[in-house]
Amino acid sequence: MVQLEDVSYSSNGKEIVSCLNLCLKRGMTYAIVGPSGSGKTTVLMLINGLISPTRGKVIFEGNPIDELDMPTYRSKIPLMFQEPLLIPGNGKQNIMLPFSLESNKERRPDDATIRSKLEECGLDESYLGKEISTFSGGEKQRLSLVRTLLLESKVILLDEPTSALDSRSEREVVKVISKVGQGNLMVYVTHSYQLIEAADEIIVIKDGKITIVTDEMDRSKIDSILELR
Amino acid sequence: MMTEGIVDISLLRMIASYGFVLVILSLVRLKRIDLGRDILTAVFRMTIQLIIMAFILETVFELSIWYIVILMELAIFVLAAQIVFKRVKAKTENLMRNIFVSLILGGGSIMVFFIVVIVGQDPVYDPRYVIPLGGMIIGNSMNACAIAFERFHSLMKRDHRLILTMLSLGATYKESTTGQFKEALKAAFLPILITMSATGMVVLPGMMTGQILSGTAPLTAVKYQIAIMMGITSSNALVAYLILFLENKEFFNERHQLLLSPD
Repeated sequence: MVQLEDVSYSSNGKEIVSCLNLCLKRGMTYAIVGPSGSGKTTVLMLINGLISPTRGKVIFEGNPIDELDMPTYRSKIPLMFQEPLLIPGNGKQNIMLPFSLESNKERRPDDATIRSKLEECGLDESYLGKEISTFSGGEKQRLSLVRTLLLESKVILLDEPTSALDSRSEREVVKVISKVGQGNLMVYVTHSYQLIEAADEIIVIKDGKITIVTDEMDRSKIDSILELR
Repeated sequence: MMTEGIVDISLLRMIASYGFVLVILSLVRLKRIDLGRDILTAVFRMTIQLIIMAFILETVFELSIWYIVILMELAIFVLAAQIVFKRVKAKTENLMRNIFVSLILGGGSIMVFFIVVIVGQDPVYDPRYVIPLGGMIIGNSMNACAIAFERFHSLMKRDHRLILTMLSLGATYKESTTGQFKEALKAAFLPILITMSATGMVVLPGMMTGQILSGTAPLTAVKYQIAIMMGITSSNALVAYLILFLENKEFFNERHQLLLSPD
């Protein structure tokens, strides 16, 4: 579904990722792991088309993404950033933000769908009317996830989707992510054991290069990859 | 001495007005503020520029030839664009061109409308009307242009991550900067709104004062002033909109990718 063919990306003369080759299939969930600054978020940004490779190609359903209409493409393959970026206003205004865009207008969710997605992510209807400034870090992250999931895309990119959550909330969100991942392509960058364990494949990136692709990894190995030990 | 109702200032009296500068210079020296050289340079520049302008205007008024008036206005537009370009700290690749286009399309169209439709002098290119009225419109538009661009640039830097988020969800480059565009337009519009509110109450505008001093009836001067304020306001809005419209593109490539890095 999404392929990275010999992809490298440099910024200010520094190579952030180099010679990445990946074939990401529909119905699979991929966890990208690696130490901080290893180029994980850059991979998501390359797939989303926010940046273009300096060498190589990103291919979506057989077409190089640089040849596609970018806003339409990105609306099919949304990326949720680690830091939940919300606008001043209430929960509903933030949830509906992508649906004010031309490329998403026809995907406007109904109230019942919004309620069910909120509940799945551990929020209730009252959050729709609440001012964003009153949300905790974890609530903001969950709202941001609701916003991304409401787009009901076949491909979802998540950057550290549970970094601001406590372990109980994390368990709930991991369940949601696993459920949404079924039948779709899900790629997330994470440091969470739970999310890593929930993935079908784990892609390890170090110094901008893929070092391991595996379907299983024990916690001590994860720790050593994340340079926690 | 009276010249058509206005008291002409003798050369000696005009020179006496430089006495005010001496007062400022003494104050600056007393307080040990490092500004003396700047003040003297500015006063010198202004004097020379105005003397040259007086000679040019005398000649242009006397000749009253349409293409000379147009050439002079064009030169003023180029000069105005250069001043704005130098004034703004942030620079983009096509900034100078975009400032010039904004000023000439925004300020120029309002200027033509004002001179042809509102003043309606015969001939329309009469330099006594075109040059001062055009100058007022362009002068004010320069501020609007600089404020709009500077604010937009700083908002783009501040909201870098938010813009990326919008793009990542499927926004076009225009959709991703709607908020920043509106905020910058408002900022550019604010000074003229404040001026309009104070006009007639706190300050008597320069043009109106000049007309009254030269013997024009206050009611006529007020009519001109109202019309020129409308012209300035429209031109400010149009120039600010155009520079934002043109510069918005400069921050993105054709793939709707943000080219600006955060602070």
